[in-house]
Parts: sequence; C-alpha cells; structure tokens
Amino acid sequence: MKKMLATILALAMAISVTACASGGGSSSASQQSGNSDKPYEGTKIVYAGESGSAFGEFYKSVTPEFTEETGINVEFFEVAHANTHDRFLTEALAGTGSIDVYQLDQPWIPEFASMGYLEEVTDEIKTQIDIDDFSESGLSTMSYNGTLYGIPFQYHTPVIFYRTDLFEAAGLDSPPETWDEYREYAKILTDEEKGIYGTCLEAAAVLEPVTHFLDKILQAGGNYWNAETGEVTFDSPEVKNALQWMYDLQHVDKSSPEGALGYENGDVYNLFLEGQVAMVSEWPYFYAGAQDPEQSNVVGKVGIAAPPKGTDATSALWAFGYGVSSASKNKDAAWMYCVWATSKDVLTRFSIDQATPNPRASAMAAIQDSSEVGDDIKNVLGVIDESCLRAQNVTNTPYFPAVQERLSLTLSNVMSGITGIDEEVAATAKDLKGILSGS
Amino acid sequence: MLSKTATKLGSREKRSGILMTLPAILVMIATVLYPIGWSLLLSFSDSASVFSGKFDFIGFDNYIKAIQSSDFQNALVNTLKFVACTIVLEIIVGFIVSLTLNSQPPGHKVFKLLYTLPLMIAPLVSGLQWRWMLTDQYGVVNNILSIFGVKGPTWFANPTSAFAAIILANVWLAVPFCILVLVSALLSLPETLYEAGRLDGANLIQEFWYITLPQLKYTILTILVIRLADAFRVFDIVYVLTSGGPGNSTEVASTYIYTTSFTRLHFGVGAAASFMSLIIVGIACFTLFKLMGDSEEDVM
Repeated sequence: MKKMLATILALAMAISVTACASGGGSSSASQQSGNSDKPYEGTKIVYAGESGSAFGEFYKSVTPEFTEETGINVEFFEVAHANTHDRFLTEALAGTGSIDVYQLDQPWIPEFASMGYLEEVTDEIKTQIDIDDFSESGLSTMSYNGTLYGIPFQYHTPVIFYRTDLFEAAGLDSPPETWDEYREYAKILTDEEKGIYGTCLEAAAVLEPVTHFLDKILQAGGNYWNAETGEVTFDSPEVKNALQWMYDLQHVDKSSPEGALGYENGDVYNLFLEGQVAMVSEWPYFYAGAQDPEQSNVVGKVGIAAPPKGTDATSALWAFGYGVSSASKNKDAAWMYCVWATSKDVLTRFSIDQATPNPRASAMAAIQDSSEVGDDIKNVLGVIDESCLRAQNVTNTPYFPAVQERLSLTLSNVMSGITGIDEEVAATAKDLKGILSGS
Repeated sequence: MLSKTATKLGSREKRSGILMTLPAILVMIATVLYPIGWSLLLSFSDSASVFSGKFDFIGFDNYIKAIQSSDFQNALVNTLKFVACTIVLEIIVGFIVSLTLNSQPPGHKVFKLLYTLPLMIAPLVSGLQWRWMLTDQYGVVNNILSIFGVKGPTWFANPTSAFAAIILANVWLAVPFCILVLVSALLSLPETLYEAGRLDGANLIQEFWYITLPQLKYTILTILVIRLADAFRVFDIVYVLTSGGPGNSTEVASTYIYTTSFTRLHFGVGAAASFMSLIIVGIACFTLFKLMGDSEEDVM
C-alpha cells in the first residue's frame, strides 16, 4: 500500500528528481570503487535544497571540491523556499530514496523526525564532526525529543540593519535598542515625499513573515505555547502587545509602506537595497547584499545592531543544516557530504562569504582571529552571533508547519484590519489548541 | 459465408483497434483513473492512512469536516466569485478584440501574433511576472499610472485590490484562448446574413445582437465549458500573487485543498474537499452541456 501511495503522491517528484539527477554516476553501492581512499568513488548522491538562496549558491560553488576529494558526485535538486516543505514531504512519504541529503530547514525538522523520515546523527558521525565544537543552541535547532537529526551549517536571527547616512542626517547617534526607540526613530526617519520609510514590516499571508511575528511575540515576553506543558499560551496580553506594536507602526505612525501588508522578505530586501527604507529588522543576508554594488544603492551606508528589546532581549532562532533521508540508498556517502559541508574549513569560508554566523565555535574563532577578514565583517558576525545566543528555538513541535500557516493568517488578518486583535488572538488560540493536539 | 468473413474481418479490426489503443488506455488508467480512485478512497479514510499505508474507513467524516469548515466555505465562495468575474471579463474582452480583429484594422496581423503569446506562458511564470509588475513601490504598473498622475493601489494590501490583481492576471492569461476561438468562429459566419440584415436596415449593434451573438451561441458555450473547468481549478496565479491573502480573502478551493493536505497534513479532508469541488464543476459543466445540446437543436 505504501508503494502505491508512493506512486501517486510522488510520481512527478520522483520523475523530476530522477530527471535532475540523470547523467550522473550510478547511485548503487555496487559501483563503489575499490580505492580505499575513495571508497564511494563513482557514487552519486542527490542534494535537495532551496533554489536561489545565497547559501545554496555557496554550497554549489564549493561542492566540486568534495567530489574531487571523495569521488562522490553530487546532483542538486532545488525547490523554491516556500515549497521545500511540501515537496520534500511528498518525497519522504513516497520513500523512493530519490533524495539523499536534505538541506534541512528548521521548521520542519521535528515533523520529519517524528515521522521517521530523517536518519539520526549517530555517535560515529558526532565524533567525526567533533560535536562539542557546535553551540548547544545550534544543535537544539536540529533536534527533536533530545535526538539529533541534522548538522547545522548556519544559524541566524533577524537583526537591525540601518542606514548610517540617514541616521546621521536625522541627528540620531546610535541605532535603537528598544521597541519604543525603534518606533520613534522609524517615525523620525520617514519622509514620504522623498520616498523614504523609517522601516518596513512584512505581513503577506505567507510563512516567512511569521518568523518576524514570532520575534515580536518573544520580545514581548510571550510565546504561542509552553513546550514543556503543551499548553497554548497565545491568548495573552504579551501576544496582543506584539500585534498592537506592529499595527501601530504600520497604521498609526505610517512608518512602513502601505503595501507592506502584502510584502514578504524579498520585497523588503529590494526596497532596502534600493535605498527606500531607513531601518529594518531582517535576516543577516541583507548585509552581504547591501554591500554588493551590482545590486545595492546603499553600499557602505549600512550599520548593524542587535534586535530591539521589548520586555525581553530575545528573538527566534532559525537554522539550516544537513541531514540524511532515511529512504536514501547511499547513506554513508550522504553522511560524508554532511560531515564535509559542516567542517571547520568549509564553515569558515561560508561565514566569511555570506556574512552570517555558523554554530561551529572553531570556525567563528578562526574568522575573528583572521587578519584577512575585515573588521566590518567581524563586527557583523559578532552582532549576529551574540543575538543568536540570546535567541530561542520556537519550532519544537512536529506541528510547527501548521502552526506557522495559522499564524500567517493571524498576522495578515490583523495587519490588514480584517479582524481586530482580541478577536483574532482568541480565534488563533482556539485553532492552535486543535493543531498542537494533533486533531 | 460472406457475412462470416465480414464478421471475422470486423473482429480482427476490433482486436487490432483495441491493441493499438491499449497503451493509451493503460497510461490513462495508471495516471488518471488510479489516482482518482485512490483519492476517493482517501476521502473516506483517516488522514493517518497516508502515513500508515492502511486505509482506515471513517465514512463521511472528512466530507462533514470540510463542509463545516469556514475556511472551505470561504474558499468556495471566493472560487465562485473568481470564476464568475474572470469568465465574464474574458468573454467581454474576447468579443471586443475578436470583433475588432475581424474588421481587419491596420496591424491586425502583428497583433494576432502578439495576443497568442500569453498562451505559451506557464501560469506560474505569469503569476511571478504580475507580482513584480504590481508591486506598489517599484512595480511597472503603478509606475505607469504615476506618469498620468494616478496613484496606483497597493495591490496586495487589501482584499478588493488583491482580488482584482488575481482577476487581471488571469484574464491576461486566458483571454487569448477566447479570442482565438471567437476569431475562428467569426470568420466562418456567412456574409449573406449580414447583407440581409443590412437590407432590412439593421445597424451595427443590431447586427451583433441579432446575427453574430445567436450564431456564436454554440461557440460561446464551448468557451464557457472549457474556461469554467479551468477557472475553477485556478491555483498558480493565486498561490504566487497573494497566497490567499490578505487574511484568507483570496483563498480559493485549490489553495485550500493544497494547504489542508500538505501543510496541515489533513489529507483525507483535502481529498474530500477536492471531490466536492469536482462535483460542483461537474454540475456546472453538465448544465452547460445541456444548454449546448439545446443550442444544437436550435441551430438544427
């Protein structure tokens, strides 16, 4: 029956993956080389990841080194970020083994782990990667029920990026540290006639804006649930404060473009690089983009600061990692790739290239000690790394994708004024109870 | 003797006919009938069946859950609104363009080539293109409007403009099909009818109303049947442009089914919702076919 299910749910997926992967070497172990230095020479593994992401491009550019070292061919099967969960879930359900290495996105790790779609990281692998070199918070993002299912290569949390030139012109000496300051500065910096907005929120009815919404909830001292007791805590003054703060920034202060109600991450990125936004609380990759003269009008004019503090100085922690599909027919070769991709050398280069921290202490220390890395990158990595250490893991339930989908509706409803805060929070809490109880 | 030979030949032809169509039939069974049958089974089973591989029958529970779900009700209403708006606009725009082309204005040959271009673009790509074009701060549509002193709407920020954006993108994508069919039909209309009308003193509007429209009744119904089924299953444009937002104001049946199945993992409810949608489209198409049948009798 499971095979039948596989045929239906994943026929297209399997065909496309096979098509993507065709032309490489055979994936069967029987084709392993007799060469003891390269025991898997000629083996082909399929890497399933996000298309178009900066870190995906980095790994595509360095993976030929892995092939040279090991003789293992890596085929990239890429899906748009918004669809990775659904596409990979379909493949996992099918169990065809057409994917070997997952580029794991934290929100769906508990779900995949609870369903048995991911291999556990064994003690042998832990020894190979020197597990103690990874930060605990980084490893927590790849764990479910105390078991590790992936090796993180990046962790991050939104931080403030601000235009130093606009701050100076407005007489603002330093970036905001608190919610109140953030709101006040955004108001001061908004100049609609010049087409400059103090900040830019995201409130499209898609999943990504929820990550920022969760930051605000945590900064307000709330959470959507208590992971220890399983109690839904969404209907709380803290959550209402978070929504009110965002609503006021958008509708009362008008410090964020009107269209932000339909924006997601890419829109904010474009506006910031165009020079139309003075300050954003966004992902670390914004910095690298802002320094690229080919796509940015704000090169050399961007500063960075820790996320603004509400009642708590925190935010949500997000990570990407590598894990192996339990349906993979090339598990050993796949783990070899995961170990290589998260090695000190690769992660050091990764963080310098992407201006984003990674959870490997030795790699981060190497960057800080390096004389070849500029102070600006060291500062950026330092700020983000410190923010990550204060951040919290919010994805510790197998139902997180459904939670995230519900919260996207909550955010969009409130920010668009379709429903009031009290009414929406109560409705969301009721739905979350159902979702988190698995019904 | 002759009849026996004929029967033999007939059955041989029948056999080779079956053999020749067998591959296509098998492919149809594997790719169409089997998945539909499996989904039907799933719609009467617990969603966990997908994971366990064993169908756990729960009767009509999934159907009841879907019907009682305000999200599904909202998605159905939005779908009906979408279908009605897009089809009416497609027919109106299709008629205006095809009648204009039929009068062979200068440049009509170049335009004929241009208007077919959207037919060659995947809905997903078209959706992405419209998303960029309609973005309020740097989109080309609002930029053009600003040249004329008009402040363009924030397309995706409120339910009405978001719905309009979806309709606009879909009409752009679908109207070439209507034009293509209508232009072909207009070319086949006998000139004698118009000559007779003109002799009776009919003006252009009367010609259209009393000659063109009745003659094209069958063509219009054909367009309606094809476009209705197509519009009802709209997914890509909505998914890319609004993802059902703001709130769930532009959620349609297909996006509801997708989210219910692949995000909430309620595969049974998703399957039930898709079968209910299928029934609604079936009823609508049946009604149109019935009208088409009557129309054929009228023509006879």
